[in-house]
Amino acid sequence: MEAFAVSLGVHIYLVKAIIMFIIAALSVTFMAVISGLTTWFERRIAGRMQSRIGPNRVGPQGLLQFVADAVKLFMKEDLIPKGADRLLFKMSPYLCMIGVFAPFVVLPWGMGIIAADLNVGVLYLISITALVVVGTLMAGWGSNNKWSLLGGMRSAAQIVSYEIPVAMGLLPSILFAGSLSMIGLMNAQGWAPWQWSAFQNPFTMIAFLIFFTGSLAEGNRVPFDLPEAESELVSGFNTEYSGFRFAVYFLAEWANLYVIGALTTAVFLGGGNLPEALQPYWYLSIFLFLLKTFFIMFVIIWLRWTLPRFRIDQLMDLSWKYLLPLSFIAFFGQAVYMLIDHQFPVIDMVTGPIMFLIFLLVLLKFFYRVAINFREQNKTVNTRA
Amino acid sequence: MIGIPEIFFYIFCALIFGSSLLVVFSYNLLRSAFALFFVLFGIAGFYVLLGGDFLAVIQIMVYAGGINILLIFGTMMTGSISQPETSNPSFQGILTLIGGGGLLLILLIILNHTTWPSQSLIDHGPTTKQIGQLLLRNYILPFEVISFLLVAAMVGAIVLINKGERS
Repeated sequence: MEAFAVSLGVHIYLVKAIIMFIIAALSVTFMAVISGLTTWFERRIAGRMQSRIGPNRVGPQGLLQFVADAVKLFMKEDLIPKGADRLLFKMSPYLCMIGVFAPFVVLPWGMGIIAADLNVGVLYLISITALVVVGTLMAGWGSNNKWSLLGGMRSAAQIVSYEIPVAMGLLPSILFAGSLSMIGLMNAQGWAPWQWSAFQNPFTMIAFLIFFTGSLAEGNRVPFDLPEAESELVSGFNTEYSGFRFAVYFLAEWANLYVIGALTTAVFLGGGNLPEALQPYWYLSIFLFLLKTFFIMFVIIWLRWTLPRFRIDQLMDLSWKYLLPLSFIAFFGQAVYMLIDHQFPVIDMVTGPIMFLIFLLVLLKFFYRVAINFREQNKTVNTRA
Repeated sequence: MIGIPEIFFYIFCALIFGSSLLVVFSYNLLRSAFALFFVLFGIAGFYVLLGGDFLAVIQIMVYAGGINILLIFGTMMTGSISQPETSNPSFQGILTLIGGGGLLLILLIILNHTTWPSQSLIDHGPTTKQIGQLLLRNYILPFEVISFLLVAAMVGAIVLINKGERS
């Protein structure tokens, strides 16, 4: 495509700029729609879990609710509180937005489909959250509101301290793949669950759990949503925002949900890898990748409506006293495992399936418990009747 | 002819220069702290242009994402922050002028007398592996000494905090 455009006499830089612009526009559009749909998805699940209905009026099953919400937010007045630091107040939504959309540069969409396969893709993805931290701090300070300030400071403290377990949780996978690029990480895994990095050995499994917990905290999701604890801080750092600026924060929050899902999928759950026979059908790989990502998003939403909120000291304890030492153990264990594995490659063949088998047993146990719960529920309902 | 790297070089230059001026001349201490974030971010851009991809990402992670955030936190705790309009007086007497001028002079002399190994804006390929090999093979002793120093500093900080909590 590039060569074709150049042959028509268009300047090479212009062509490159146009292609970059198209890819960026596609990503942002995709993200806006996805985060919109996720709001609907989340509210429906929440409704189901709380024995109510949730939004079901606009469009089929309420699917277009997010369009109505967005139009409502566009129409609202853009308020800036008196005494606010206007520059910081206005700048904050941009930074949060950039911080959440910048990861899309390195997020893969399937086998080998990626906007830019940076050599340091994973590190870039972790470090770019700095923009979000600064954005929330700016919003907290700029609003001239004590709840905003508390929310912003909590958010920054939380993200800075959970960044370490998250980065350490990624390390065993990086060791296993021997690469920092997203495509490299994805290609090191196979299509089958026992070839995924999460089920490689006990240490990667621990790392996976640490990473997942840490990402929940980094994304300000329940049970770690202290920055916007409604019962304490009204709405956290975005209390004073209204109209479109508020919409940007919400867009960023749900876009972040997708980023967490996609990163987990790519690094730990085999990405969009297909079996040999299916590899010519590249669109299947995109489908598979999105399916896994949406499943992770569903799990996160599920946790949000199941678990209560942590206290701030419990939150910090969890990060520094439990997750961090555990992640060191996982990192060290993975390094030792790789040394042993280098000498006896047989171990590699065994641990994967065993880990996956254990996972399946846990899953079976879970379904068994759920089934018992349902039966008990029916019994009590019946006796009451 | 100006290539893409040069265009980005001038963009980063503008970012760093503008933000640095804001850091120095803003009367609002907190705005200065926030502006420093963009300076550090722009420096990461320079590292990218010099082919140091790993270094650039670490610059964002450690300086922009870690140290600068702590700096902003610290700034929020300072006493003069309750009067944000005058919290950062830019001119603090003749001594600072001498100090700043002296530093500028020294830097200029050093810059003039150094021969720079690389002047290209071209990508040199991935550097992560080479950095790792240099750190863990050629410079293993300094690396370990620095790690040890950092651990000692961390333990010291914890001890100090514990003392403060008990009293």
